[in-house]
Amino acid sequence: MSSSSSSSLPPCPKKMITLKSSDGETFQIEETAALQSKTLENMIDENCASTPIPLRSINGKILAKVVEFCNKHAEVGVDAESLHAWDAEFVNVEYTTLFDYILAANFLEIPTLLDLASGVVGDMIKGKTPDEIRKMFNINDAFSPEEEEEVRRANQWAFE
Amino acid sequence: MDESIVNGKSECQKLSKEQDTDAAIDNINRLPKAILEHILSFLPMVDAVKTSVLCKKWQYLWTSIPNVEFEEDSESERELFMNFVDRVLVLRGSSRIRRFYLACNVSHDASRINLWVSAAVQRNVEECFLDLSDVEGPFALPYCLFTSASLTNLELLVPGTLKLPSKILLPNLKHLMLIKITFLDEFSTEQLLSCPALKELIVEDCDWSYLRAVTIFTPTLKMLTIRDEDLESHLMDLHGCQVMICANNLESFSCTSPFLNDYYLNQSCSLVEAVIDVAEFPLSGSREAAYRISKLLQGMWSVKSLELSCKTIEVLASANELYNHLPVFGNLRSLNVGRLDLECGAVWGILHHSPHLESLEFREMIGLTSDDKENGCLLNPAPQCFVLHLKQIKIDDFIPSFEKIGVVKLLVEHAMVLETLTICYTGDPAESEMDKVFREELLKLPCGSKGCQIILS
Repeated sequence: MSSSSSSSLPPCPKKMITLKSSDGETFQIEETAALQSKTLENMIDENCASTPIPLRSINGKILAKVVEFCNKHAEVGVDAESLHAWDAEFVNVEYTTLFDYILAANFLEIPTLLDLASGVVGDMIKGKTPDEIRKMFNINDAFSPEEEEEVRRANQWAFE
Repeated sequence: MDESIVNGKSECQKLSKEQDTDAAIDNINRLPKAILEHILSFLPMVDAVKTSVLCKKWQYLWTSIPNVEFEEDSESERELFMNFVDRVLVLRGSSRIRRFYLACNVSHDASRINLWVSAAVQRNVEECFLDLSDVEGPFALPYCLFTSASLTNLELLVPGTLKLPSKILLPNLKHLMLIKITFLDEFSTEQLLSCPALKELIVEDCDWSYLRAVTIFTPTLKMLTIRDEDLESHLMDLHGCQVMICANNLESFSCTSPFLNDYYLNQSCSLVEAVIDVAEFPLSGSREAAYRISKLLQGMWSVKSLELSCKTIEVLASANELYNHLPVFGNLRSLNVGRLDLECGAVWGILHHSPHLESLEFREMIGLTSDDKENGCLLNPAPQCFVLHLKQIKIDDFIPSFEKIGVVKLLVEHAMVLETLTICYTGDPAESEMDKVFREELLKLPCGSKGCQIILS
């Protein structure tokens, strides 16, 4: 009896859930941190989180970062300013990685991460000419000059 | 043969690798449409529209952005602007508009502009900002704007005559800002200013002269700002309106005005901070303004922190009998007067009517001559707060003179529990010989309170 109580009561029992990335890596995350994801919250509510949850669209590298993000944002006693600085550092990555964050946040429904990364992409577009944006994101299937002229003319007010 | 298979294999691998890098390069388009639209929602409208030429996928993405902003540029062609607004509102179909901002001339196009506003309301607009100019004759905005259930923020800048509907129902409006509106009748004005969920109300340079008496009844209101700094000059000669403000949960009130209107606060028992500043006003009206300010002060009995500008004190000093009309400021802890004028009845009155005052701050002061006898009367008897509670005195932008030091001396002599006297100099205090003398004079002031610390900075 005494032995069972000591083994079943660790100093601070934390409910953990396990996530499995597309390339088979597993990650442990505290349930309280995981609740930031609406998708995971639903699975926890429906008792589907007792076995590792397979996330087929997210690779290990990205999932590790997403778990890190959720852990940071679940920390108590972090003041807004330092969290802001942490966030800025977190999204200071190549845009391809940003897109991966966005897709992962979209799939897992983590609005804070989705808005953070989307805002950064928005800032990258802001104030740039279409040519600069195309170059930055390597958009190759541009309109023909005639087509582009037509779209431009239709929205002329914005291009003045 | 074996070799060729290996070669073939390696060729194949190379190809797939190339495809991979290709996909990795051109990859903003791997994001689904809904996400790209979400990204565009973080952009100013002009930047979002410019993405229409990026490629086919982006041509119409911008049309569903939730925040739309139209600002007519005086240099661009008007018809181009008008057509563009039409185009945006048509293309977006029924997709929701969260924020609608329109800044343009009305001229002869009132009905077209009203159509746009109606379109925004129909798409459940939450925040609506209308900055309209060149309004000809009486102008009315669409009725639906004043009955919208989705609207939470409304800002209207409409110089000229804006006809409000006779029935206004904005159940979720929390923030209302009105600039340069001419209020035409009491009934509609009262309804607009008394929306049931209103938390913040800002009324700036509005014309109340057609109204005689208005009651603003908003139990939810937390912040009220009245700013009349840029009034049309013809208003200066007109009779004011009596504005009764019944907002029993009001926490913050700021009024900058020439006090052409009578503003009363009724039942404001939650007031935390209040600021009164007198804007430019006709000189002849000084005594009248003083009376109006004192009426306003009567409703501020519950305030914890009060700020009266230098000009306010100047006006109040023109009617010294007013201290009789001041309430007891039982909660007042912090008082900031632009100018400390101990001979001004109102200042004297507030000090004597604020038994729990802990902090006094001022910038300018009326200096005292060295006649100790006469000066002694100014704080005799000393206000109760000087004896029991006043812990801090702070003087900003101090330019020393013997007359001013006389005032400071009088204050610290009577402040029996003072903990700190902070004097902030303008300029470098160590600059001249004279300053040195003043500094020494200040540091050896006889304090009524033993533990008082004098800080010169």
